[in-house]
Amino acid sequence: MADITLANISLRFPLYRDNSRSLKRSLLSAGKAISRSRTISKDGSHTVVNALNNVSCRIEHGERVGLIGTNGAGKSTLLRVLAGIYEPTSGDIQVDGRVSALLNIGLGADPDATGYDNILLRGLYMGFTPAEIRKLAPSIAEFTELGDFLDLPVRTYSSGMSMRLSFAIATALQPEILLMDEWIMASDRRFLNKARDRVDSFVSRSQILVLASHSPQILAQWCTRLIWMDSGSIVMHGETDSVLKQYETGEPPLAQAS
Amino acid sequence: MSVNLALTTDNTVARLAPRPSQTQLALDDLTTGIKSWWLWSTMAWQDIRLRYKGSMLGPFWLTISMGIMVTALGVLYSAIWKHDITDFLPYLAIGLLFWNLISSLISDGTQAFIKAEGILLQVKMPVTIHAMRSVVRNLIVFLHNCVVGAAVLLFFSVPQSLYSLVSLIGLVLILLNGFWFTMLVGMMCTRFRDIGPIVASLTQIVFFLTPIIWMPNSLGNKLWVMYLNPAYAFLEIARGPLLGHSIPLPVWAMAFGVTILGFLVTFVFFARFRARLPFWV
Repeated sequence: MADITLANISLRFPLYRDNSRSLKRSLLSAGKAISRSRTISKDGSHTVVNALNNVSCRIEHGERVGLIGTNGAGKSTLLRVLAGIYEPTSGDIQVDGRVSALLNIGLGADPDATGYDNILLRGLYMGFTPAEIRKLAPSIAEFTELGDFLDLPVRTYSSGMSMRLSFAIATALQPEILLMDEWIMASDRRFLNKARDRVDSFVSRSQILVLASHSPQILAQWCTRLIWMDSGSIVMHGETDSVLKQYETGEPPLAQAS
Repeated sequence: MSVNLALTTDNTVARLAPRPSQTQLALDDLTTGIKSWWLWSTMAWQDIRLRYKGSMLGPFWLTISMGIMVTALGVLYSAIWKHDITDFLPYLAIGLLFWNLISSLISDGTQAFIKAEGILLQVKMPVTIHAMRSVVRNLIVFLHNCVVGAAVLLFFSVPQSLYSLVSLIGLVLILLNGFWFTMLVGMMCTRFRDIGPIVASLTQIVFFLTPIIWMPNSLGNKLWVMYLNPAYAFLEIARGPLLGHSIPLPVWAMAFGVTILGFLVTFVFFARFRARLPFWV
């Protein structure tokens, strides 16, 4: 059974810009720390963003959870923590179940490799053996509806086509937890419906979907439960309708039950 | 059901197992990474396939260019240094063969994680995989280039014996050191982007300071200086046995010393900074 538990997760995200990427400059400017604001501070030569603050939540099997919030609210960062890419600075995390993350349209694709090569490579990245992927490849190819394009380098694909390929790969390999960032919505309506059907059948097998978006319409369609995030903290959580209603007003709820 | 979503903190903490130590996580990364041989070997082959896509000869292009370089330099330098070409050309060919492996391990090593950015930020995967991919890719190119080495040894009928197999120890040492170098310096280069070019110019200098296009006996009684050069140690253990040279003890000591020290330093560094790598790319 898929299951996610986060307890007091905080993540301090160092941002390296031109100056702090240089060894020479870092040595010259060592020890000049300035603190500016609550979410963004300076640690030596580089800027630190408090990307997540004390995030606690629990997601059980069969749930479809939406993350809503403005740009920079911490949605994508939280997805990366759930995917195991970022290790939190403090707090505990437990993710039971095989995770498949659609965080970026490319999914670590090799732009010069063909669609078929990418099915193999990305399947390998997700922990499958070459034999397992070869067995699944025809069904993935069929779901993408890309036909002969799969023999061409991914570089030649439109964003909608890359999206289809990424979605087909990420979902065909039967993950137990599917994490998606909002770019999935870049595809046409017909494919979107097809994608939803697949996600529906997937969630009905008691798996988990976590979708990040700042579009209330999409979240209302896809999710049964929402987490509203702002500046790296959870502002509100609950049923989709009630969170959306509050979100539209732009005001955080007065008292959030703990 | 809405209670499911956010339990109070106390309940959740009680249920979670303690996080393993950074040392344990680093060890897990190394062991699962090395065990996933099908992953890094496929990635390495894919790199080769893509790099030489559209060229009929594939990686043998490199072999041909190396063959041309060996012939041209061999003829020229044997005349300049007034060495017998039957001695000098095999020496140069085998030396360049292993030096090309060393220098491409170094230059690919500095780029290993920077180039893996797309994967590092999308998929959870042991960091070790990216280092293995780089090392194996260079091993594959090296094996293609071996054709030149073998052809030269045959052409000049350099005598071989069982002792020649000691050269394989040299090869293994070079690969092992390529691995820790990629892990250590590759991560540093990801954090500080100006280290890569520095390493590249140092590599160039080491090439001239190491007896590859010149012979160590030109140093006369100052040969001991070369015992302080780690690049000479690795190169000589790989090259010497194929040419019938015996390997002096200080050379062995240097090679094994650098290998052991390199792995120790790398492990400490890796355990400390492993989790930061996704923030660095």
